[in-house]
Amino acid sequence: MSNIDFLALGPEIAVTAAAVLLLMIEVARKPSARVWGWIAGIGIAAALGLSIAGWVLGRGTDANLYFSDMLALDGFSAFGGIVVFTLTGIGLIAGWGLVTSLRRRGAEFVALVLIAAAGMHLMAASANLIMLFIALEVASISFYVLAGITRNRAADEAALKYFLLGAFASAVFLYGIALVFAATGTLSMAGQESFLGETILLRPGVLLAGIALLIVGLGFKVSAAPFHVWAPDVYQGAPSGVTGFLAAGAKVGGFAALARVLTVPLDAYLDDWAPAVAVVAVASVVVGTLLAIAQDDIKRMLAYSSVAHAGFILLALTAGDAGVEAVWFYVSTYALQVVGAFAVVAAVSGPDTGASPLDSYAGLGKRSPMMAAGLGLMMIAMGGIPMTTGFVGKLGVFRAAIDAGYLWAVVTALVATVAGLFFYLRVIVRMYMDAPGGDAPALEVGRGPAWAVGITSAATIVLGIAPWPLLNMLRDALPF
Amino acid sequence: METLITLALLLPLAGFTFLAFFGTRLPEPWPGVIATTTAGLSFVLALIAGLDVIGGGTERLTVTWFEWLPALGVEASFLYDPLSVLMTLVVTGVGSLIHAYSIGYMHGDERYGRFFAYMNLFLFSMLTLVTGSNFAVLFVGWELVGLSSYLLISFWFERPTAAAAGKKAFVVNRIGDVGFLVALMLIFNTFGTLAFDAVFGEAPAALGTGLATGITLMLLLGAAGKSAQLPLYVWLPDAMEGPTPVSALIHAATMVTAGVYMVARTGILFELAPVSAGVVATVGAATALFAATIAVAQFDIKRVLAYSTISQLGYMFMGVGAAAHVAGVFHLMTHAFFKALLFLGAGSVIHGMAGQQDMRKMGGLARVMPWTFATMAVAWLAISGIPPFAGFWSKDEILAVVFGRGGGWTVLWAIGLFTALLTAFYMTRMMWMTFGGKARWDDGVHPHESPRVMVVPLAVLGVLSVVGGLINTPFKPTLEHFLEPAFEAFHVHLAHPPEGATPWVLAFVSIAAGLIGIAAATARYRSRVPDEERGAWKLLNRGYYVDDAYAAAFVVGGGAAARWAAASFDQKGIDGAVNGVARLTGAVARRLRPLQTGFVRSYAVAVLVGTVGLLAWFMTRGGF
Amino acid sequence: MIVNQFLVLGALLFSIGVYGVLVRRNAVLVLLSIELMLAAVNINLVAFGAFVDDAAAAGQVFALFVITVAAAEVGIGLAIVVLIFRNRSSANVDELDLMKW
Repeated sequence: MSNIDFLALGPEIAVTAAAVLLLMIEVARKPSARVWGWIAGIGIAAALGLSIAGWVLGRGTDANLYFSDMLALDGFSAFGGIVVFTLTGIGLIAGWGLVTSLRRRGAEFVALVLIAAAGMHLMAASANLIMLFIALEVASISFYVLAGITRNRAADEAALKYFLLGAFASAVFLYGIALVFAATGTLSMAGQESFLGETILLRPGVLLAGIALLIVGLGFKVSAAPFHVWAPDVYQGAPSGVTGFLAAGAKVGGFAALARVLTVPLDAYLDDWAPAVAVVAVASVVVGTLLAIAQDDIKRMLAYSSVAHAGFILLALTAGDAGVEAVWFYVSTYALQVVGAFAVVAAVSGPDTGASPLDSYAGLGKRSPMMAAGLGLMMIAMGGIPMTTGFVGKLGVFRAAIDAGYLWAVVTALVATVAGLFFYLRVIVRMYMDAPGGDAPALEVGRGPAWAVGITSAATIVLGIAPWPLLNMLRDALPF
Repeated sequence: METLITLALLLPLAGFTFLAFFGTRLPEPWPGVIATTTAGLSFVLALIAGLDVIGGGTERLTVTWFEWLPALGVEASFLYDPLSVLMTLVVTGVGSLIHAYSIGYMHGDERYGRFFAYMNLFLFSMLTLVTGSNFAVLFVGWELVGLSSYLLISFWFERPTAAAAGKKAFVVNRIGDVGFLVALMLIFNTFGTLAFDAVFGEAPAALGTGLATGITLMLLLGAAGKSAQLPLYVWLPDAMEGPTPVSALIHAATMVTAGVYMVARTGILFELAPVSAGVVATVGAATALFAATIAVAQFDIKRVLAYSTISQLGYMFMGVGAAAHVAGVFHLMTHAFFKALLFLGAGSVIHGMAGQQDMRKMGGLARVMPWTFATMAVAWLAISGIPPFAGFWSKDEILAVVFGRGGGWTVLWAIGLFTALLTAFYMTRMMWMTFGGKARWDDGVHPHESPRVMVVPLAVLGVLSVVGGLINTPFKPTLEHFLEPAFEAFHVHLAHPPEGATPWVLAFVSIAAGLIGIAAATARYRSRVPDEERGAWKLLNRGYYVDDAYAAAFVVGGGAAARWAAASFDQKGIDGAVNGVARLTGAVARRLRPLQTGFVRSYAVAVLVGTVGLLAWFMTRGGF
Repeated sequence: MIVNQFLVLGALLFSIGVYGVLVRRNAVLVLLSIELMLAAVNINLVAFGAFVDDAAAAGQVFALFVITVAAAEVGIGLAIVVLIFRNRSSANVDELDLMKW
């Protein structure tokens, strides 16, 4: 089946074309930032439209493979595209202040965001481990540069740490691919699935070692403990205007890849990898929650909280393909919460600075009621309080893990959820119950962050109260 | 009817939303008027919608809004059966009175609008809790109630004590919530659904005693957190830091009864787990006695009432633990009337005494505050168990049922009886110290009667405290007939008081206990305030040093982890168990932080260690 | 065909790379060590590719892709190191501890 269908590659073509066009126009004409915005917006909208088209055509059927089994067009990849490109759009709007502050280099920034989006979507659509590795590198390399885009001392440190550890993890991941290749004789996921489904390996050691290394590589991307070490430093050092995109993008791409790799080719070895995933999940939840309590920088706090969230999402994966729906619901809604929360951070601390101490949020309720309400809502949602998407998501992953027989992991996660409320609510208390330090004037919020916060807040509440449209969509979207 | 129920639920939410956005811009007293109107309308609508149920026309109404979480079979739906009707009417009725009273009480507060927004949010949460038709909706209400309670306790967050009290309540309730959540998970795991109908319907057949015991003990943990039972009662006395007496009313009359409601609602599960039911009743009896002894030695008028609330909640737990659900809920209702009255009266006294809460600085107020005195006297007789006031009927029914169970239950009955004596004693002590004897006012304090807007709710509650008990007397058990279908629908077998002459004997015994308590306190406090700051009195006054013991236990007895963390612990500032837990966690977290050294190379080591760990695990699954 | 010697060589090179990442302080040398790890995997891939006798030569093709990606990665990595050196006049990774805990 080596037929070529450009719809499978459509979203990538759209955003990459937009990126190339943007760079060429920038070199030739030096247009205003508004022009970059238009080009990027059209590119993202086209990619989003093509993903929706892919979803309409591809949902509910078995994966259609294109380009010599390199790419899959199915509900999974199409839904991934919808999430990724929505996220990219909102992330770009939220961080537009950073683009303008970079002056001429803003064009590079926008182009890199578009290319990273292409990489993230490819991670969800890869049907071959070569493809997956390249997709992961496309997204990661863009991320490294984005983290250091402002070139100041905090950003360069974030970039180098992210880069060195990311490349290290990529090498480990690659070793894992090589071992899986050795054990199965093919790099195509479909080929591996049928090989492992039909063959009983007498000595599965090579394959199992490969699975372990694959989990390490992707666990690094989604910042699961103990592979999370990069996250706090990168979140804190990277300019606030892009941190939300980095954080949410890495989670979405990483979990899309992890879900596909673990549940399609390696499904037959569920009993072997699921306990390991459960342990990593619990470790992430506990480490993330405990360390988040001690933070006094909100970006660092959100980083550790994202470690805990990675753990929650991993819990659902212990159920194998039965948990994929819960993974997608959680990761897509959590990504929106992260982008919304960092939009507020960018508004409060400035889009091009790194650190954002918790003290600067004291009295935000007075300085900017809308931003405070938005951040408060995101905190409530991340804490898993009912009537928000966070609650529905947690319910889903807990249920999947219980069905899979990991009650002990769920109980640990429940305790951590409750403990986690402590630091989420601390932010709210700071914003509403503390007086602003010194003479803090009302905060001037640009239209970008305001829109980003508005959209993500609306989605968080509406999908929290009425999640079934998204859940039904996901059920259609997941053929396997 | 369904529309009315929906409206009754949504009105307070609408009030909250409106006030949250525009409350700060409206001048006094409009936010209060709006909030009171929504609460009152909600009461009226709930009453109209409930008429059919009350009149016996139908046994239950269900309202389904939408499919909330289809994967879990959970709908956003509400059940309006006799139990919900009663709870809804109590919540909205007493709630409306609190709202009205607050219009006057909160006069001049800088966050007037915010306050009423929170009050309406509380009302909405509580209604969700008592009308939800499945555990998920119940849990939503449960959490929202916790949230609004936290907001109201720390409403005056400028005071460090209020902020700390809010935090304490929050953390203690979280401990209970963990239990509740675990119970929900177990229920879902067993039944595959969270709907009351399905769970309670299948429970007798599907649930083994062991699992039932596990589930119900976890539920009890949740109920104990919310209803301030041993050992999780510590937050309630501190919660009196909320705006006097408004938030205190919530923490006395309505919100804290959520645990009692939950146990009554899940009665069938407790029936299947006799051990848990026994534990519920024992916890209730122990709490009742324990809190009553502490109340005896308090000097702060609000703390007397706070410990009294804990003690009375213990009675309700004893009732529902003995499967006397009707009696438990009945006591819940009468308690709501007279305890609300007591708190409003205390608020009126404090208002008149310019903020003074120490009873040693009061005395002789009966002459200057005749209305407050008269209404509080009614409540005093009601809580002391003197017929025909409301408290007598409900308390006596609980005691009679417990006695009728025989065996070990007789011990619980004896504890309950002794607690009744103590209750009469400390309430009489409070009345004498506040209203009787000579004036011991500080200089410059000129007590006066409160304005009419505060006195009227007192009078209304006074009437209810007199007649409220008459709806369920042994001669005419109207409430019992009304509530029975609600329990029968869920297959609960209610326990009844013994037949024949026994109830009469028991009633006389408990009246005698009440009279002895009143007489003893009168003899001791009629003419003077004895010195009660030494020895056993001091022990009781400090609540048996439980707060300090909790703190010490968590700090010192926490084992190696605690000692390890102790270096960064402030040993002098041990000011409560909860702060102890929070600090312990915080200290552990701080100790873990240095693991994140900031050096890339040590990060790589962490990744490598994780990799080797995973590899090692996979190698155990199948070697080369 | 026997693949063991290639695998042992790959594993050894990979381990040397890991060791280099852990002990080297100069960012450029850390980068070099990571390149060594990628090269080690390439040896594995080519060896496996020859071993499984796949008509599409997936292992060898993948190795080419890895080389390409590694080149891009080095480009970005060196750029970041240059940036670090400009900001701090040092490429010692142990001096990067602005953010911790």
